[in-house]
Amino acid sequence: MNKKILILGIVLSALIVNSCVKDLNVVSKDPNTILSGNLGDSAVYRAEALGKIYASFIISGQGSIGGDDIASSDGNFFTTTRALWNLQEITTDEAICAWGDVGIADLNTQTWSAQNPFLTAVYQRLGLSVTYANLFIGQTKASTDPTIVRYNAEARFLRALAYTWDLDLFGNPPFTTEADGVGKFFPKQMDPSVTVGRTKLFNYVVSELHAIESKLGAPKFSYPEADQASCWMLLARLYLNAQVWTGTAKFDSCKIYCDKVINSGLYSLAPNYRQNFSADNDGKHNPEMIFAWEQDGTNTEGYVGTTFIIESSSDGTYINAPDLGLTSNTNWNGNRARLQFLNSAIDTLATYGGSPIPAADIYFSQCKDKRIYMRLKKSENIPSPSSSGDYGIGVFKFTAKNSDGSQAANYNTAYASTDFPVFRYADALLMRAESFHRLGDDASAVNDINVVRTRAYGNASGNITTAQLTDQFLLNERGREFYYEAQRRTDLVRFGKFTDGSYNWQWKGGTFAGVNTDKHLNLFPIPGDEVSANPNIHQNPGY
Amino acid sequence: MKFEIVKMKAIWFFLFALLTLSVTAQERSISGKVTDATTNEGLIGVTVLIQGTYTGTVTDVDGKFSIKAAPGANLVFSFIGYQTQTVAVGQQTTLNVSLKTEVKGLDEVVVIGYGTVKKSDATGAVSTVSTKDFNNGVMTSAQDLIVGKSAGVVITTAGGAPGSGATIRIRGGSSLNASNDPLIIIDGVPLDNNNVAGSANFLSFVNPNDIETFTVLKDASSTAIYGSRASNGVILITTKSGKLGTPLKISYNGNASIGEAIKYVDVYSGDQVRQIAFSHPGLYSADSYTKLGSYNTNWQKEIFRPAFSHDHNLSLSGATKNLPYRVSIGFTDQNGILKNTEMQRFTGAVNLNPTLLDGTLKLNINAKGMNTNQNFSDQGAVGSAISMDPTQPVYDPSTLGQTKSAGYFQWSNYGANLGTANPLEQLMMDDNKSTVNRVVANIQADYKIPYITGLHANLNLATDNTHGTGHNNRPVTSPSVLTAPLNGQLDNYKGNNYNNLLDFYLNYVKELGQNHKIDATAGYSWQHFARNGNDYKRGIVDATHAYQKVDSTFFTTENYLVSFFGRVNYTFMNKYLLTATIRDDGSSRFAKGNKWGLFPSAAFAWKIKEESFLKNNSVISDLKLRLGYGVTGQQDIGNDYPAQANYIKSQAGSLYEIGGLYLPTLRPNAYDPNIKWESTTTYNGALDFGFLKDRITGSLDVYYRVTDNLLNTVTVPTGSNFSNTLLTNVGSLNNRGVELNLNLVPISKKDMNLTLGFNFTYNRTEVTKLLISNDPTYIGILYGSAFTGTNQVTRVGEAPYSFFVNKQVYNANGNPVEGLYVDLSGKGGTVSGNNADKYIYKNPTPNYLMGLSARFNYKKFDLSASARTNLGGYVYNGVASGASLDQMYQIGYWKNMPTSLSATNFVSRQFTSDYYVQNASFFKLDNVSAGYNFDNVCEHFKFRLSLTVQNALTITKYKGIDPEVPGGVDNNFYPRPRTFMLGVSINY
Repeated sequence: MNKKILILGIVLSALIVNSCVKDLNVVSKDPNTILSGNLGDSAVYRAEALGKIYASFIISGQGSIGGDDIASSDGNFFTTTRALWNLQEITTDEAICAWGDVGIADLNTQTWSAQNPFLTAVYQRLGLSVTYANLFIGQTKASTDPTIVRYNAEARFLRALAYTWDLDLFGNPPFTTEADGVGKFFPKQMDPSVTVGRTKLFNYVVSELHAIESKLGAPKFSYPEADQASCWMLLARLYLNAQVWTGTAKFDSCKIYCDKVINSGLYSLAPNYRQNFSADNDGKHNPEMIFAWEQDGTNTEGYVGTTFIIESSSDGTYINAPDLGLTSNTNWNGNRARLQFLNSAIDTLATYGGSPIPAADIYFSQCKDKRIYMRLKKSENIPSPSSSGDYGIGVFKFTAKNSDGSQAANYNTAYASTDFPVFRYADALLMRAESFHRLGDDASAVNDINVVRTRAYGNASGNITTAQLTDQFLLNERGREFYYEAQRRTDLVRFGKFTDGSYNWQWKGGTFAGVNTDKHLNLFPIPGDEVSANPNIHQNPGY
Repeated sequence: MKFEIVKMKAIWFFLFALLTLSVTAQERSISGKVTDATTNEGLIGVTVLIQGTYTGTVTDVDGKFSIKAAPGANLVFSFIGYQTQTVAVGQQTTLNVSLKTEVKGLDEVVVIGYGTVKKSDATGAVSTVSTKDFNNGVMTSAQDLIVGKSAGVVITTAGGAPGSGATIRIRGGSSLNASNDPLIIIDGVPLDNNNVAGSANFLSFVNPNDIETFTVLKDASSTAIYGSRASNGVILITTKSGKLGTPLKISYNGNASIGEAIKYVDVYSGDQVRQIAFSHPGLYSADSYTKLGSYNTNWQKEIFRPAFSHDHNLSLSGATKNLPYRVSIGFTDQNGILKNTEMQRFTGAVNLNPTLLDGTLKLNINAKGMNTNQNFSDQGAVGSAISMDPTQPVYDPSTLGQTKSAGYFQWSNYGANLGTANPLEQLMMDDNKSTVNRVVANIQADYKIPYITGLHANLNLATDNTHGTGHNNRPVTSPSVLTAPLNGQLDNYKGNNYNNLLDFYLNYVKELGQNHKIDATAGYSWQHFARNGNDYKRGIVDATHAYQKVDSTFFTTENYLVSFFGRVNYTFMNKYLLTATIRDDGSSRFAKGNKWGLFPSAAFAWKIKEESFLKNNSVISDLKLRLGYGVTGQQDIGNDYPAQANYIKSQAGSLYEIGGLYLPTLRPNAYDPNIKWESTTTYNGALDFGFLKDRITGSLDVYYRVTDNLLNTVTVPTGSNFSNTLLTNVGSLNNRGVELNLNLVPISKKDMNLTLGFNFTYNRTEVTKLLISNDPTYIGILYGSAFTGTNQVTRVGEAPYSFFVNKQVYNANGNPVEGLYVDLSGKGGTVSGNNADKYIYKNPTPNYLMGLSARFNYKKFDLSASARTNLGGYVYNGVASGASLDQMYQIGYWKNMPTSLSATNFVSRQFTSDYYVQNASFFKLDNVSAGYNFDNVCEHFKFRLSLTVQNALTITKYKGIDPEVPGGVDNNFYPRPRTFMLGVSINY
């Protein structure tokens, strides 16, 4: 009897043990997470996964449960567009930031190192957007469903856009595509040499854009998704900078893609310049917006993008963010322009007939260019690089209100609904003008420029002649049109004015008058974190 | 029930009276001499008691005694340091007794993993702290009982909030990113260290009054039988139980206490703020002066209070026939020194140990229940009270009737939305309460298998269920900590933890001949942990708006552990002991191929005292050498599915528009498909010793511990994974240390005893590898925020979390020069805040720890104290580093600063200066307690009164309020109170 019980016991225990060992194969039952294998061809899941690639450029992450996409000391600080704005603006004459946060001062004065958290964040986040896109592209490339085919092309566009900023800022990033897996491996640059690698990557990006051109949606098919016009604008921007990025000028190609945008007849300049920087600046309401990162007071929130620009440029005394529609946690008092930029933008000498700007003309009203949303603060000079934001030239171009001053749709007191512009129609005109000028057709260049200036002045009074068209004029015009839109550094580098001594501004290089800086600073370094983590990476020269 | 007790008391009294009567009738005089069995010398002061009575005498200078006793009586001879003897009187009138010295601890049984062992036969580093050594006056947090009591065990309380938890570290931490908490097992039930929502301390369900012993397993040879959860040590907690053959014993323990804040942060008064404001016209705009008030409010005084608490515990224990039992209930009401913070707790415990089937089946049934109600309020008030402008009043009559005030002064009524919250309003208006219920129950059956002598089967079934609910609501009159447009908030949450266990093992003990003994155990264990919870937040604008920012979150997660284990103890000639254990652990957390880990250990012990050359040595009373080696693992890595590829959906507010609709986005999460166990190898060498009849006992342990496959969150190569960092097995670190435990008995007399306990720990942790690649120039893992900059680093060759700061330059007067630091890189440019110019300066972990405890009793009076010293630890004083003149006026409001600012007069904050890394070595007198026993107040009643002071004294150079800062960065935590406690204990 006892033996029987013993045997039964042994058999039973063996069964229990066996079934318990199977318990180890457990998968998540959390409704917020979806296992990779379960994504399938669900159209909703695909759209949501595509949405992530877009969102990764503008907001910090998934909100309270999923958290930020990257680990950093502050999610909002180190979003792609906000950190990119710092790299593109506060390193130039257009802006200087008063904050004491680590990494700000060395960007202000062009004395950054490879440890700078902002350049690290931009580098890592662009790489992350590429990685998200790679996964999506790999998962969807076999699909014949027309929607999925278009999603696939949009993901490739976003990857090409991320690589384009990489080309501009870092030159030679690690190169991965959908063929690479996920785990712990060491991606390689396309070539150890930055000049060769940069050219190879340039060619890859261009070939990608050519390949997807026909697969993308027609222009304006579904703002804010990337469409064919976005693709043309990105190609134009690549070709515009080809001389700097590859050593070979491609202005003829730039012109071709600007033509495609302009000749489509689908876009025009917004009658009111300010609309481009207002809550109704999106492509559904604004004929000028081609591609932008969408921001929305209730749906796409964060102290990022245009919210950051508005708040960081407001101080409560000279510029008051509540007047610009943001009443919560306002007036961060950080960014303002430097005097040299003001001079180039309003042509101070001509405007004021050689006299100093009258103290009473705080809004530079004597300048007839309606693009000047600037004002005098405590003083036009900035006494020290760490001076408070009360010094310098205030900029209030961006607003969280609609262009007519009314309250934005989906209004939120803390977050602007103003989209962050990436490609505007004005850029197509000015890129084409620059191409015409480089190709020797100044008459056509002046035609394009005058379209932009007629909108700026409200009439033809600001129009120029071919005699007035110089390289410097083109650079200044781009400044007037695109200031605070994260383009300045790229433009200064292309015109050879970013580091060398032909153009200096306050606190460039760390002195009041500004000094020459070394030309290796035209490219940012590969972040120290990356060099440590990836033995395949070659640092940029000079760092 | 009450009636029952009264009735039983009456019966007892009657029986006792009868007994006394009969004894008195026939007693006669007995005399004799008590001698030491080895020296034959007379022993002075031996207590001679008639068994079962309080009648007795004490031996004189020659060891002689005389007593009257009945012929049927037994005499009990007891003396400290000697084995107690009971002798039947019979017909004798002369009685000579020789007492044998007691080799203390020889037969003490120590709980180890899946079994017990005689202390003298233990081969690993095991230390036991039992009731008599516990810290006095502990009400809610079981961990606090053994603070400072065992070498190598560091317990840091989270702060002074009622019912708050503590971190326990045994021999430093063996991990960086994975858990460093030890495995805690209560009455055979391994606990889940995760707190359920609404609970501040996962150990609060055990009433400290129910605990009998803490056994700490420190080295791998003793912990490896717990395999993958053992790298940070194991703490086995045994609760009290009834004993076979004892009568009903009723005890009541109660105490009442009053706690108060020890020290406030020294901040400026209203007058001082006004003076600073007007003496720096260049710093503050003219407009700012209009915002200054005329008051002198001491905000810290406004938020703290003397806190009254009380605690009551009642237990009944004894045995009826074969059923020993113990039942206890407890109630605690602990008020925090911060206003509106409180914890109320009810506990109940039942323990039954019946023996069935002619003694072959022993059952051990335990059930513990807890109900806790906690009021957390908003402890951010501690920080606000330091920053809040003292020129403003607490209550603001001028804004009465305005929505955003509720009668309190609020900056938001004056246009400064970001202004410091009124600390008192924060505390009083926040409705932040939780209720947690927990039941832990298990049944352990030990069955002596027939036919095979020495074979036992042991089955343990356990369940642990916790349910927490709570809310954190803010009325619309209290917008202080909310982001506009919100003025109020509703937040309800729930959480559940489940933990079920099945353990089964066979134990076989066999003696082969005279010299060989084998004790073998083999078993199987299955444990399932599940956690889920939800949180439903709603923002309120005002009564006319719908809820805003509605955020509803839900999570559920689980994991399984399945294990096979075995142990063999082999004893040769009762001198040489060998232990070998093995555990094969399967964890559901890892992917196929990495699920199973094998963890072996071996230990050797040599009882040198048993050798002939020492056996009769009178100086050395005990000597044992222990050597151990073992491998343990770590699988508690904070995520139950780290190896699985999945997507996470975004919440409201983080959407993007696709196809004309705002959709949540799906993000692929970073994961490592090859993630696996951390494995820790420990070497331990030790000597246990006793001198002078064990008047001096102790142990000295030396250990070296290496963790490989260290889980570390590292920067991953861009493009290789779905984030910039990834938790993966890349690093190594080691711990080395020395531990000394000493127990001294300087005085051992009839009426007077003094026992001293001392422990010393030296531990050093060093990181030896951190990256996938090996870059010698790698700066390390940096910690800090965008605002304060990096101030801590974990780097190869250094202690984890070392401070990483700029080297301050001082002027001729020895004061720090603002913003001036040594350019350590020599590259010029911005030095302040630049990582290239920073250096590693100290770290938060103390190198040397000492614990000291003393117990003294004279007749019925006793006194005990325990103290600790930590040496070599540093703290970053975040309260002081956040202070600067330019921060005193913010956007539309004034802010107070600690007066330490007057020493630097910094205009801007200097977060990265080494000036703020301050020596946090300390000496703390944690606990002083005095008691008096009234034995004969009434027959059978023992009555004791005690007075305890907790947190009596701190000596330190540290400039903040308390040098004992969890994590090493001082940012205004709930201060630990000083508590005066009156305790009463009644035993029947």
